[in-house]
Amino acid sequence: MQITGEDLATVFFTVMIAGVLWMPTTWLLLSIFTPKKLLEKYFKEPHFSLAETILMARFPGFLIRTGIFAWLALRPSLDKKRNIKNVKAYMPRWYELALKSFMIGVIMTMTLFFGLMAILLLIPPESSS
Amino acid sequence: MGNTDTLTHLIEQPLNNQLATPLLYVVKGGDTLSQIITSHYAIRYNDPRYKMALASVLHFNDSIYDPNEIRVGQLIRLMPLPEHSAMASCPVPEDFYKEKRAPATTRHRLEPTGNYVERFKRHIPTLPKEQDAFWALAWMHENYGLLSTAVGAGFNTWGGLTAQANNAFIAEVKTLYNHYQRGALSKSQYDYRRRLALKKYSQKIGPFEKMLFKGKTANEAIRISRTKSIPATATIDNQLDRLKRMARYATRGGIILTAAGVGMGCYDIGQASTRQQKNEVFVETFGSTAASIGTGALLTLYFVGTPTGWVTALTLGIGAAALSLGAGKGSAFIYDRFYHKHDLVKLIGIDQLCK
Repeated sequence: MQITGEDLATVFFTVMIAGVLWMPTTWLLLSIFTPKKLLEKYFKEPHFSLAETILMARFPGFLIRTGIFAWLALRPSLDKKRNIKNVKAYMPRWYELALKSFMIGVIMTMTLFFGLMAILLLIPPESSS
Repeated sequence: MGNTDTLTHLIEQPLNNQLATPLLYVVKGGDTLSQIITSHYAIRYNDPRYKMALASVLHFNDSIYDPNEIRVGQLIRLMPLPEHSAMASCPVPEDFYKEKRAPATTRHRLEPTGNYVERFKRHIPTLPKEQDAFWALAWMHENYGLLSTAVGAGFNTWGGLTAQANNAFIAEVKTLYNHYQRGALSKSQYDYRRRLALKKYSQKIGPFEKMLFKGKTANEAIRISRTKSIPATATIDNQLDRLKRMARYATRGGIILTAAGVGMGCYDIGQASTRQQKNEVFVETFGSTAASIGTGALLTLYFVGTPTGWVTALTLGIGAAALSLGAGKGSAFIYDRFYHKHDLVKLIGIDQLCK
């Protein structure tokens, strides 16, 4: 079975539309439901500067805070700069899984989105139909 | 410009018609286009002038794809009919239906065939004093992608420069002063560390230093107040408050710009005259939105390590805005080339939502 440009475009537009629907919703929900225990332990000096704690306390700054925790949950070795160790111990299991799923999902969505876009843009015109 | 001149002439010339001003008509249940024309222009279907009236209605109403298919609640623009005009010799073209339904291979947004004057001419306000403002808005609308990229890059860079992580260097001066006051640091230690913190800050924000501090360097602006009437660190607090405000404005500016981009996309979908155009606008808007949200989430990796330097702020700002614009254009191009047979706008129902 030969995969056509139209088939790839179907996947591309599905990924694009699904991404616009799930990414901001999940990101926002994860930011709203950040565990208090985690915030009390790490969302303060010296892990975050005083100014950062003000900026990232509410929308839209708290999205960056969630992103930081998501990366640290996914790759604990990134803790060197902020010294946020064992972040998993301060969040429930469901939240840890949700954070990891969110970041892996974003990586996959963006890889597919830009990967398919590159392939589709590089297909020569004569084989486009 | 010929067409525009003709149209402006049409609108501005004294009208012999009984209706001298344009009218917006809301279609009601049981209405037909011929009935509307008859009751508004007093021209019956078998009247030789009927074709002229129909041509005028179709010309000024891109939302009418088929004169036999008008919807309840649809807005119809009924323009005055001058007795002698180009419109009078302009019956409904034979290929009208084909044209309105747009062949799928036509590229509207990626390879524009005319300038914005041509596209906006049918919306020209009748009052001459409103026309300048109209053209300014039309230009902005046409160039929104470019403008939003430039302004978006500006906001992103501004946000990066005034990011609180950078301001931590300035806050450090206050902490150092408090240590000095408590005797934990000697005067020379305090001076040295203060200079070091401000030097790092200057390096981070580079050539924008004087812009952020109204023509002064950080070293000149971040001073301990010697006036007894205010706290010693009041100047630092004021500067920090100012920078925090700037960061907040930059963030809000970015959000407003994104919302405006989505709103503009929705407006364009509602206004587009063909299915092809609607779908191109839709995929362009969704493509750039997906790219900006996704890369935004991925870029938080950068913030795991702080702070932001001016080169990075500029690169991130311009890069994010350009990527978003490019992704939108790329998506529209892909739709145009591979997917034009599919009506995504109808499938998702976004057309009705935007209308």
